[in-house]
Amino acid sequence: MSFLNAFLAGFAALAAIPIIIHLLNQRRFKVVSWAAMEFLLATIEKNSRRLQLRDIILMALRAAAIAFLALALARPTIAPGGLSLIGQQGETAAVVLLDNSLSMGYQVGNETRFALAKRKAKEIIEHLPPGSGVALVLVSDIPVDDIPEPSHDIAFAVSEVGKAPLSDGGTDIAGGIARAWKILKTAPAVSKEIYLITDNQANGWPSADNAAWSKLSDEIAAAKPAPKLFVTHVGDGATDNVSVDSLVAEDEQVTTESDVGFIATVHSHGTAPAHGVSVELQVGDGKAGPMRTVASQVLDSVDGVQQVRLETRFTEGGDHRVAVTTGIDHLPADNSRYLALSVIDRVRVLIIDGSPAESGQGFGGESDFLKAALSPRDLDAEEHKALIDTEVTSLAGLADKTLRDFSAVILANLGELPPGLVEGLKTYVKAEGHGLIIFLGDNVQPGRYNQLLYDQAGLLPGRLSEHMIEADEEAGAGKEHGFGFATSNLSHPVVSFFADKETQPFLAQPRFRKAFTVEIPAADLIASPAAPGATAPAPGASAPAPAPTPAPGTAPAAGSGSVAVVARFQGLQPAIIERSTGRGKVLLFASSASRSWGDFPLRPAFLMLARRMVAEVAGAHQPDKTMLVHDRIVETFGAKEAGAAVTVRDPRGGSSQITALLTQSGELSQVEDSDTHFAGFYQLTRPGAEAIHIFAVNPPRAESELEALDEASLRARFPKLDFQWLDGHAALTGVIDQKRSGREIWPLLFALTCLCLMAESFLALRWAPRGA
Amino acid sequence: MAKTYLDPKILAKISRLDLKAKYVVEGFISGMHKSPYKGFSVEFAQHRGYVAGDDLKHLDWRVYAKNERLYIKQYEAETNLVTTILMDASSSMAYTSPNAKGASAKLEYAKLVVASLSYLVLGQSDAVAVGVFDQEIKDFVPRSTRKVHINRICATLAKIEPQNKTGVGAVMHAIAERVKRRGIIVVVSDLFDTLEDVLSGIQHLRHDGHEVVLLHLLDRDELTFPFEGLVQFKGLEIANQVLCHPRMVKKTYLEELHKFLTAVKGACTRNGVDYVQISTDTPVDIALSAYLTSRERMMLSGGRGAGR
Repeated sequence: MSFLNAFLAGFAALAAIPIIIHLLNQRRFKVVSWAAMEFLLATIEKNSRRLQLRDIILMALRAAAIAFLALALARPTIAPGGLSLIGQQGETAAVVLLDNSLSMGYQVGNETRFALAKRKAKEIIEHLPPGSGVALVLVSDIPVDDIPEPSHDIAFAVSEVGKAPLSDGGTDIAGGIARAWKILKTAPAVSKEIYLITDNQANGWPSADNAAWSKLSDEIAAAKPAPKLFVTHVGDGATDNVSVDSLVAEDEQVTTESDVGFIATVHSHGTAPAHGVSVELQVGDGKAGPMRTVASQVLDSVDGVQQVRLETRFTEGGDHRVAVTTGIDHLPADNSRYLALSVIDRVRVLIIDGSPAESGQGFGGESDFLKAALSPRDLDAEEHKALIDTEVTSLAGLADKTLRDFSAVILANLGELPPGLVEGLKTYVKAEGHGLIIFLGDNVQPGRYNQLLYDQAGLLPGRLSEHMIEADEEAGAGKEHGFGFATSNLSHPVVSFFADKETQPFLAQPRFRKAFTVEIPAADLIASPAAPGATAPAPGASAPAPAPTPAPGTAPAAGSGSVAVVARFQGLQPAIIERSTGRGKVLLFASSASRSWGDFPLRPAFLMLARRMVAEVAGAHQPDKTMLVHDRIVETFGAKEAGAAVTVRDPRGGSSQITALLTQSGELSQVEDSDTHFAGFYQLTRPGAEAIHIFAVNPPRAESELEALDEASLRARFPKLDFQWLDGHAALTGVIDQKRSGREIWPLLFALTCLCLMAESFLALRWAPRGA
Repeated sequence: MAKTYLDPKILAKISRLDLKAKYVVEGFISGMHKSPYKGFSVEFAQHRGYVAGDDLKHLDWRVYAKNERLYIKQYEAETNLVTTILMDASSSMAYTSPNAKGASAKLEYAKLVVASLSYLVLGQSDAVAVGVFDQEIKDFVPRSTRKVHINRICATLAKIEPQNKTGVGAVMHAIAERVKRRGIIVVVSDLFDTLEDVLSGIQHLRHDGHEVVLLHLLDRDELTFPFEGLVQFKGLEIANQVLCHPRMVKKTYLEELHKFLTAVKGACTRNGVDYVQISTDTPVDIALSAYLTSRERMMLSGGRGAGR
């Protein structure tokens, strides 16, 4: 026990006063020579024990009241563990928050900040009072419970600290403290302590006006007992650091056909520029083999942010690993940036021509134009290998074809839709993840398409209206006949090529005489290109039908649908519409690839759009494979892969197994993994399958900013936060002992004082002799 | 407080016991304007015819009223009853109240009572013997009717110091053996003896035909236990001491005392013994006159007497 007003504790000796008075009184008495002794002796014999006991009780109560009052004034505290003598165990519950974010890998001398933090964590844990329980939480941008509840096994806790890994994640100190408070809130302990061991990165702490943090800190401060917060600073004041903040491919669709450029953003933090920074571009194939450097540069001086362009060419299609790395510095973990890239090699496309007779007569059918656009060189010439390999067939010849041999299927003005074809396309797109492109034309019956491809198969992005978009027959002098594409909002990869002002005029060239009106339910839309900035209808074109508006009472559910309008006509009607369905994609062109509907197939834009549409749907089954630390890896497989054990290898060589689970629709299976603590490449493999699924995980950019808060700054930012600052570079135990005081028990002592006084008054009154 | 016939200051100034006794007796006689009765040891025996010169105060007016005849009451005194007065001189009689100023020990009070009674009896020309006892009879003044006998009695009493335990019962047995002739036995004591022994002695005396008068002398403190604070009581007869807060034991003590007094009184009543409880804060004259007056009333109404 310790005392906050120790000098007052001496007044407890005054408890001896009643005893002294009693003893003195025992000496001060009258002596009476008494004759009627027999009666007195008989009386004493009857009452002596009772009277003695009463005397003792009253004296004890008086002494106790004085003692309790004096002790209460001295404000005693019970140190954690101090009540172990009377059987109370686990007095202190502590949570150690170990910052294992990326910045803790900063190395000064022979030791990283994280190694120092672990040493301090062990020191703190081993210095906890006997009977204490300790929990361990690893704090980065998400708190990870290592020991989720206070454990009395100190050796185990120390061992877990030793095994704790450094992650590549960001820092969320508020999240860590919230987790610690959640653990301590229900812990039965006299004293509660939170030890935060961190480098105190400024962006790891919440802002001063963060409402959630204010609420949390108020809740903690109001708790009884309030946990003590010890902030152990293991930072070193260093801010100089070079990091690679981003890595992007210049082209969204990377093919083996041409060189591809990569833009890396190199960032020199700190006050002084970095000199002689080497930047290397490394690539690796989709297997687990080593990466190789394919390009490099040396930057003489990097002051702040600088972009670097590095170029390479892929010779094989499939998944590739791409990384940019700078030279080693004190914090190597942010010197690399990773990219998981799907490279498109040869894409086989099957064109099902709905008017094969027309095609056979010279160069005029839809399939002729499409084949010319997609495969401009002769397929048979070995030295001229086309990226896109096209085959044309009719419905009759479809029996000889196997759809899954092709990456994409194009329906060109198909009038009939045999049930077998519809079912086959449904499996081909949804389950197998391939692509479908639909060009409309004169043969198309809207009702059939709506019934079979929209209602039954769920492939068509929207319903075809009976009402057509048609241009006026007569055009005035100097005015172009027909209507064209809208040239605004060209963000979709299919049309992004035309976003540049040099290429945009090519998109404006085609003239359409007619097109189908596609009705898309608002709830199906992912996003709709906005109307503002759309060009006015071309002169001579009749006012086209307006774009379908959402039904009354419904609002477009942004982000909840699977349909996107890729491009619009000048009248804002959907021209190219994309639908993601299952693992695959469908692109619908609202007009025709035939000359009968306009001059589109004769324009240069037709070539680029056709190729882009093929590239878009051909890579449909590839999920987004580049993400940040602690993002979820999601990979989908066919339904028959449900139950398969998928092995996940992390960048540091560790592995785990996850079972593929059937999705809700039952058409696919899926694996998810959130344990992406490390930056680098994660590889997913299935037994019996050759394919290796590559995911690139990058650290958060903010972690490279090493500016830290010192004690004064922390107190200035959070003036109401009660914490004890500990220097992690010095011995901690002495300071902790000084600041650690047990629970104050003066209210209990004061209550006991009152109780003793009340009892003494009551008993003295009750036992007082009445007049005989 | 009963009116005293004597001025206590005057009484206190008289040191000689015989003079004190005289003062007491004559004081209450004069104060009452008549003798309480014809001699202490007198009781009615018979009538005789009036002869000239007889004191008219012994005339039995009732008889005269009835028969118009004059008869004189003849008392036992005339038959020469002997009064033996036994005084307790044990250590317990040495108790003096520490609270009352000028208080005297019970023994001194007892001596005055004995001397006064002796004076009264001798004044009636009756014989009186006085015995002093503690565990046994320590001193005995044989009976005499001579008026100067009071001097011997007082001289004997004056030199008595309290000592030893009380043995009232044994003494009464001894007196019963000693005094063969029926008479009046007066015991002046605090009776701090075993109750059974006291009763046994009384019964022995009564069995022998004596009239027994028990003057139970107790100090006011013994009757009221008025002590405060912390007191160490040291036994006068028993070698015990008790340290206590008297208030804490007062109630129980008084209950014990009351039990004892009730038992004694009841035993006396059953055995035809005159029991008089006298507190030492009562002036001697008041105490004696009160008793003697009640005794006379009893006698005149045909009350109990020796041999009845």
